[in-house]
Amino acid sequence: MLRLDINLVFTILNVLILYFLMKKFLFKPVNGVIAKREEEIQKKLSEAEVAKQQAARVNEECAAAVESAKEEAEAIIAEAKNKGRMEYERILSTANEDAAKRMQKAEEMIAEEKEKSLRNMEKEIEALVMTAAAKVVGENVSVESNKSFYDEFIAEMGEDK
Amino acid sequence: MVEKFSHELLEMLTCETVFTVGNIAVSESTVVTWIIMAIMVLIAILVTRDLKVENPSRRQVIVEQAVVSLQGIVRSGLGKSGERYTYYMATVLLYLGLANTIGLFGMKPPTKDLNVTVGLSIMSICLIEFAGVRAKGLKKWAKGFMEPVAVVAPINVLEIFIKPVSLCMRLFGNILGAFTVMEMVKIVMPAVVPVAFGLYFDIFDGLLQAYIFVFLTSLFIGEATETEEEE
Amino acid sequence: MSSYLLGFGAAIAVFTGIGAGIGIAMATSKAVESVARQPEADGKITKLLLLGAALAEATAIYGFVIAVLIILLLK
Repeated sequence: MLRLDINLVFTILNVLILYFLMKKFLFKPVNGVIAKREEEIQKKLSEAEVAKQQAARVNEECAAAVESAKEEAEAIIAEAKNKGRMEYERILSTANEDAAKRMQKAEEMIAEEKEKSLRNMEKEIEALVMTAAAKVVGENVSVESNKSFYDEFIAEMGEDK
Repeated sequence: MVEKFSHELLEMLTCETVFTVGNIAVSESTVVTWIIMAIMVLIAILVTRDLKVENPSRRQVIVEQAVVSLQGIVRSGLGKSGERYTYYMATVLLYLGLANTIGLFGMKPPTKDLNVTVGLSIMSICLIEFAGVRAKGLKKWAKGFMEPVAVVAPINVLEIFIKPVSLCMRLFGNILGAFTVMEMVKIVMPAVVPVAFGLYFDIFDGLLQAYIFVFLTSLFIGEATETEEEE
Repeated sequence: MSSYLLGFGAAIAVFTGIGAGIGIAMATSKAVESVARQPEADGKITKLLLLGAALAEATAIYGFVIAVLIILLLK
């Protein structure tokens, strides 16, 4: 049982044949499939990378657009507010001026009225006083001396006033 | 009774000639090796029938996993520089694993025959030296014998012969011993006991020895091809 | 008579098993110690232990092979 014979060569031959057969039938196909799958996964990964980058870029653009839109909106609002304020101030000042003018006119009118009523009153009082004086003094009074009496009297009244 | 026992045992231990081709005696171990080869190739063809890349069936996933882990075991010894020898090492691993455990199925393991182990170890040593020469070039490989000191050159040269002897003796002795014990147990107590022993001797020991043989060879190959890259 | 001597020779040849037994037992004890010290490394330690044990066993096996050779060839 411990002899070395021709089976040695047989064994070596057998193992070599087995090696080639295994390489052809087992290792090459399985490794080939694994490598191909690896390749496909890599391809898909890189495609996904590219798509992700693209999506990131589009996202950025959108964000930038939104940003600029917001800025524009703010600018418009600020401008509108400004304009509104200016308008308001203008209207206010116009109204103030108007009011002031009206007040002035009113005061003037009041002053005028006062003058007019005063003169009316003067005239009436003149007539009244003349009638009363005429009645008191009789018929012998001339018109001019009454007038001088009357003018003195009014001047005094006017001073008192 | 004892004589019959020893006679039977001896009969089991020898390798009988199965048939003769001309005047070449083909022994049992060769026939069993043929059987193992047939089994391996058949299984290989069966499982790689239609491989799909996209959506593999479960069978294919298992097969892929097995092949990858098989190659992984071998690669750890070979290192990076010995990768081209992965296929051969994996083949030998499969063959030895199957050969050592075929005692379970009632046949005599071919590694019980000295021819098989010596044949395998001769191939291993040739591969190791060939790998060394191919990786380092002829002159450097020859000079490698002088490392680290020139005095140890004879010992290094001797190592070329000692390595395969130790490999084959280890394998042969383990399998022979396991087989002997198994046969003895079977002759004395052919009942339940062989199963328990068989679990240890046949399966565990057989696989372990196969793995060690391949691992050591791949280690030597890695060592022979790697010393070039370290510079 | 010579067969007795052969028998003795074969029996003595198997004494190489002692070295293997002691060596592997020491290796196992160190392995158990290191696993107790660092339980996470136990997978690697087991692998190394089995590897070392199988390698050390080879010397014992040589003795066995020599014994068988003596008995069978020197009849």
